[in-house]
Amino acid sequence: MRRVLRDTCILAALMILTVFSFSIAGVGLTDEIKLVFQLFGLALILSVTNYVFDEITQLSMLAGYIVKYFVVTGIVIVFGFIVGWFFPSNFWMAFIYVGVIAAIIYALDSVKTENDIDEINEMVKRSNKEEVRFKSLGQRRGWKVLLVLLAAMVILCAASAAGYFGITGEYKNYFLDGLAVTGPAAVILTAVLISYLAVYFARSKNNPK
Amino acid sequence: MRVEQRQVKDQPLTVIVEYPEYDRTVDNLLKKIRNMNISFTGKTDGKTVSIDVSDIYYIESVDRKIFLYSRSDVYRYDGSMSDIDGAIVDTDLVRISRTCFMNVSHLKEIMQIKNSHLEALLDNDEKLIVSRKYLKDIKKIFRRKLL
Repeated sequence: MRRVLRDTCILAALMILTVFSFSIAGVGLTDEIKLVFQLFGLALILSVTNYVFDEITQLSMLAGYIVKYFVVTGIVIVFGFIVGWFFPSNFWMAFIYVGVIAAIIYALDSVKTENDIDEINEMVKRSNKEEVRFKSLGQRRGWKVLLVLLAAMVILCAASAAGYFGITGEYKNYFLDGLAVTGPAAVILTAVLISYLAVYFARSKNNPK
Repeated sequence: MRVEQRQVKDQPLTVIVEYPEYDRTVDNLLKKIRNMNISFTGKTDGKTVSIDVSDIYYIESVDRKIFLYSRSDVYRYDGSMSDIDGAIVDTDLVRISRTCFMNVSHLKEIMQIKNSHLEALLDNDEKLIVSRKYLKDIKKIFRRKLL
């Protein structure tokens, strides 16, 4: 499933690049086309940064994500100023955009790491011909991380909604931006949490604790 | 699988594998036999000794010096980490961080410790820090072993 999703994203990215590259010949470099290429440029810079960061540091998972969060936000702010996405008054929005994406990636990474560790420990036991015991929900960590991040996202989402509906004036739109980012993030985290619990209960039926 | 053994004097140790068809089981068996021949040369107390891969628990680079750790002994290795990388293909040794290789046949458990570091516990109660990005390589070795 993961491979299918990854291949779908790669294929979609290639299709977007190809279609927009051909569009330049027809309609010139419009603002939309420019934005697409800017996003690809930013994605390339962030991927290289992430790769270099992983190669040169040996931080724990949480510390790694916190440091990466500030580094990536810094890059997004600088890039945003260069290409004209941000104005001096709203650059701080980058902290929210990057923070929400980082929270989702951290949640998914935590679950994946936990699954990898469980799988390796099961394989160690099987190769030693020992009995494999299924970990109870209380012993698992992934759903707790998901729940904490989901709670944080729901609070941010509610605060954004309260701000948007509660005030008038120029700052109203900032709350709308906040709602547009935290709302989908809360939905994604809920979906991941439900699938995590569904997989757990499906597996727990067939495995002794 | 039928196992036969016989003594042939004045000949080197020879293993002949007969099979009706070359499949994964045969491939796995041959790899295991070939791995028995892989060893590293280490130095301890001024002596040079040959250490079988299966006896190595982990290999670590400390201040650009490489050390081989067996159950209870430490040996200095005069090669580089990339030499080891090239020599351990199809063995049970796997890279677990930028500076360390672990022998998965001595692995007891992998744990996520409180500061969200990953730790591997070996059967001699040694603990090693594991980098998340190498978990897939550890899984790959076990999948191969369990085939």
